[in-house]
Amino acid sequence: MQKVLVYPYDREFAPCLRHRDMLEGYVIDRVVSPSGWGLNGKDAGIVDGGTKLGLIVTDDFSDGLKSCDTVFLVDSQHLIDHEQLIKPRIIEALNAKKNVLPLLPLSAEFFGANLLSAISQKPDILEFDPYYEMNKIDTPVVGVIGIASDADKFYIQLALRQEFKKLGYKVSQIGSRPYSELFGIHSFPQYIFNAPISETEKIKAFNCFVKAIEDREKPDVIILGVPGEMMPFNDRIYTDFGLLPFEVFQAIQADALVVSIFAERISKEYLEEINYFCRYRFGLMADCFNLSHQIIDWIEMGNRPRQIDTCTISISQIEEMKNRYVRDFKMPVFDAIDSNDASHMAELLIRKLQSYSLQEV
Amino acid sequence: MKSFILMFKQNGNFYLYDANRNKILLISSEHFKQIQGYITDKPVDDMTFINKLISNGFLGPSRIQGIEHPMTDYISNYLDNKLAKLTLQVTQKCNFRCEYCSYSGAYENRVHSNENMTIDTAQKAIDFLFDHSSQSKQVNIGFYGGEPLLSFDLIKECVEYTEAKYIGKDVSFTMTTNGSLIDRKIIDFFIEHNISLSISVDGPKEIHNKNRKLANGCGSYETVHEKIRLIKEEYPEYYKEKVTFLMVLDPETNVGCLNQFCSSELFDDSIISSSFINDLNSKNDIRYSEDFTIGWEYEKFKFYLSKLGNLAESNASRLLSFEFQDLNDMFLKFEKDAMDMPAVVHHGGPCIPGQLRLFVTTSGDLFPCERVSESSVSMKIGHINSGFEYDKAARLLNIGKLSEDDCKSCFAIRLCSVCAAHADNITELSQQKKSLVCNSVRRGVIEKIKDGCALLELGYQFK
Ligand code: SF4
Repeated sequence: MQKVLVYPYDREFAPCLRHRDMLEGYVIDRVVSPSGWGLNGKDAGIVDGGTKLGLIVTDDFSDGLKSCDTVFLVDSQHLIDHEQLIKPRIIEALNAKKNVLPLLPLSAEFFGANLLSAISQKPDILEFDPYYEMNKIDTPVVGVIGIASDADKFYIQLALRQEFKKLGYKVSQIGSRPYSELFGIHSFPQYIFNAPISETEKIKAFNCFVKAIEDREKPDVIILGVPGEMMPFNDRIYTDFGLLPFEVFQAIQADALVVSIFAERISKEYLEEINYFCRYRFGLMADCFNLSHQIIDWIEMGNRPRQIDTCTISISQIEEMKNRYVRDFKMPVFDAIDSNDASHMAELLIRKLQSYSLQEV
Repeated sequence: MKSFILMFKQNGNFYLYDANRNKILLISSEHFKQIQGYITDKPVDDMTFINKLISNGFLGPSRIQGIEHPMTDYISNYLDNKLAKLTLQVTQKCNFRCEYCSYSGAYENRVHSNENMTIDTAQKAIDFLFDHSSQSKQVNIGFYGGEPLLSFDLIKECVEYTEAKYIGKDVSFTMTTNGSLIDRKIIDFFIEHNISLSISVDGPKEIHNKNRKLANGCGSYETVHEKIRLIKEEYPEYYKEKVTFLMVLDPETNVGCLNQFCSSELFDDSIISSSFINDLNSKNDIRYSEDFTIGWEYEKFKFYLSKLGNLAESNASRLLSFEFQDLNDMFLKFEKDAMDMPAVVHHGGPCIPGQLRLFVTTSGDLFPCERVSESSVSMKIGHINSGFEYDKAARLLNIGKLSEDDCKSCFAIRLCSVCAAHADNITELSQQKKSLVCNSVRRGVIEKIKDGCALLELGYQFK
């Protein structure tokens, strides 16, 4: 087991920390965050409003390095000045003969080929035959999508993996984050969707990709986490207009769907509208919703209307919200950061998938 | 039947603003009469139009059952993790004696004193900011007084402390100053540390000197202008990028002179924001002279003409651009479908106290912003040593509860700008004081709506 220092830590890496027992070959020992981010001396769990994680964030990278073998350089919700925060740390870690695993995009132009080759690992690309014919996926597929790209989807994916495995199922998984392999999950093959091929070919290629996983791994269930957002947020924030999930669900007919939404004073009508949207856009309704631990920060968005800004709320506030607003809805609403709720979500999905095995006459 | 609307006539046109829908409708005189009859429970011959409005969600009664700010449950989330700005009152001393200054003696419980902030308090306040902004992508630290440059050494220490101790956050610094103490050494420091300056100037010599006086009673115009010229001539880049001006409008001055002043060579490329003399907790009534009012309205008229393309932009007063931006935003919102009016809601106006511009006094007390009186018991929301008093912040945020019944049926509820500072009478939040402000806010809203409609009548498109 490699002892790991995580840097620069904030909410972005919190799902991985919350599920750090699922990391393959690594144990997270230190969590370091730049001093200006206001996390020094606090429990790492504070960033997502969940329960304490038992790891105290420090701002002392050099001290943290002493007891670690590997540095996870992680992406963050803060804007990172690579010159000030990343480059000196890479050099310091390499000088101390530590491994550095970059889990964030680094520009070759800025860092230089030499430095990057010293720390980069070959991307784990699954070999598959893109023969561009649509295959039927026989294994039940659970899709996980979000109302926005930062709506806490990765928590759901990791929690479902854990719960399904606990229940004894063999899980194959495609994760929405580019370093999902750390958890034994295939990273979403963004390269397919970035390739200079037609949209139709991308859909077929993704179908073949999933089929290849199914053939190779023979799972009981496939969890499919889709990066990005399911629809434009408004007329100014739209990224790819929800094109990616649309294409993904043209490639793969999912059997169950979890939709992660921001925690607001949600109404039954709102959930119904999302459900109709899912039915007509992706071919199936949501089986349940997940409440992200974030409310939209409308004040900040008034100043910077081109990006979604949120404020984190706590597990007890989510609980209170569920009691106040969603108790009477028929639609199940869960909180994947709460481990009890996560297991209820998993049970509900399993029940749904089992119902497909009933033979109707 | 009581509808939640405002009706008015203007230039031979008839309008209806509906608070439930947050929309303005242009209607015929006949329909106007029918609606007047309908809302006063008189018989209406032809209900076709009224029924059409009703089926589109107009003319409904206020559905508001309670007044509570939607952010009430999240005050601690914001105050603990999302502070945006810290304003440090580095000193209460000032080398000026401006007539309208909050510390001039003309305001309840605020006078100049010799209190300075200690470096210990300043550092604790900065630590407090970073400890309470883990989710803010950027933070700003502002230096305020008295005249902050009387404590330049402290400011230097604060900037250096922040830069040395807090790495990785996008931090900016700002200062509001009377400008009189600026020298090359200070500007060099500002440039080196990227500090933005906001300098108070009130206009040409006679106007500026009327209120902005040195401690010896003489006008400060020459002193300040010499410094402004120094920055512009010797540090043109910095002047262009980082220096803005604050103009306090004396309602007895000649507005035309102000415009000439703004277009003079020293200020022609600068951002000048203006505000009227602060009337919060003023012992004296702030009176607007007839000349001023006429002058101001005339400037507004010219500004609108320039927007309509009938007057060159150079002839329109820049002092009105912020006000116009407000009008523009308001009318853009009318174009969009508003969210249904919730049963429990709060009027517009209050922000989460302290989150956007937390003010720390020389002694470390916390206030929502620098505009409120630091002697006010009701506005104090904590201390840097003991932290926030969340209950008090919640009370300030929910200032609408003070006039709950009025607000529930007030057509201006979505467009209101009243906050707790308007109800503060230093010892408590006063309903009486608030209702005085309500009247003028409602008048202002009507005026704005009418202006916007007039622009639309003349073919203007808000964008
Ligand atoms: S103007 Fe007064 S009564 Fe009307 S919404 Fe504002 S605070 Fe309430």
